[in-house]
Amino acid sequence: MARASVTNVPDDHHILRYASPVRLRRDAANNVIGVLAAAFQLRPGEAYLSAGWLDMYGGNRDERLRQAAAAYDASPLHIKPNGAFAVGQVSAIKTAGERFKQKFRIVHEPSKGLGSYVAVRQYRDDEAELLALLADDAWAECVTVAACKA
Amino acid sequence: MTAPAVASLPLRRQFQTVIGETPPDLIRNSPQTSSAGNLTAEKVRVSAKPGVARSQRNWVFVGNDDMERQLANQLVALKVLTSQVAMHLTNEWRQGFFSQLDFLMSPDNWEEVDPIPGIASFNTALRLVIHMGHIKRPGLGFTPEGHIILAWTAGDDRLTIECFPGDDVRWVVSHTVQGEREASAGKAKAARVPALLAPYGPEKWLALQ
Repeated sequence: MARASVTNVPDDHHILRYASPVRLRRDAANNVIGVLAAAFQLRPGEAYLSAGWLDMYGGNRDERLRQAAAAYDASPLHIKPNGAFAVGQVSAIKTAGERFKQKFRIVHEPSKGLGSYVAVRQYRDDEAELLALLADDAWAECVTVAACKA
Repeated sequence: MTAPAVASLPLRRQFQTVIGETPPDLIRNSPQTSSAGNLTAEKVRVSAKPGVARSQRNWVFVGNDDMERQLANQLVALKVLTSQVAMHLTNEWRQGFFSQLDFLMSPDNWEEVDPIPGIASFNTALRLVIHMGHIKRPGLGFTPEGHIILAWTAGDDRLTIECFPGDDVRWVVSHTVQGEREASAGKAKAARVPALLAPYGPEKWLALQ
């Protein structure tokens, strides 16, 4: 059986990571104002951080977000309507990692029913400051699932 | 022996009496086999009112049932726990806090792969809030391990505190200094947090309007 190709995602492209409703930064009135660092924690047993390749899709930014959300919906990776996507540029995410002596490999690994599936490999989530920098700077753009579909 | 009236005790003793030290007297998590013998249940013992007699206390069982039921049961337990420290919170603060929990712990917003939030982490969060005095209500979240997160935001300046069981917290301050994003973090006991945050001017996050 032919093995799916694995390629590096270009540095100037953007990737997105789904954040569930409980991992979004909210104000006291529950309005979404970003993502929490916990959105970049690995689940027990996970070896890498999963994401999606936003710029694999065509069209303008809104169209790409809409296609990405539709692709997640159709995949086994369930997304909640009140969840959101964190969007970041590959180069900025790698730079954040390098500040903590982590050299991420951000690779396109189409699988799990998601053609845009991306793995952030050589990733460790044991430094709270790195996760905060991802959430608040390098991977901080937050677009709600509802807004993607609008 | 009749329990002392909690409100008449010094503040620190109120913590010990209402929320408990380690292990707490009134609240305990313990794996237990149900009477049916085929379910492992987490038994959460909570008091209807601070200081009520042992025989009058309520019991909330959280079993290996479906997720919705577990969430609903735990939500009740967390609210009861919060109500036990109601004397430290304004009614508006508490009601807002409950609304936030209702939203996050609804089946529509909870991922099935996430563990149900534990009482012990929540216990630490309440103790932290009491230690910090009258503060602005935080945004809430949960980690993949089920720990509660308290988050305050003032423009680009962010304070996030993850609450672990046993009164331990991890705080993270994230802000921009001379055009570059910086983050500082530390782990401490909840009681130490006000002193540790002092250099960062926490009023911008915590002060009531």
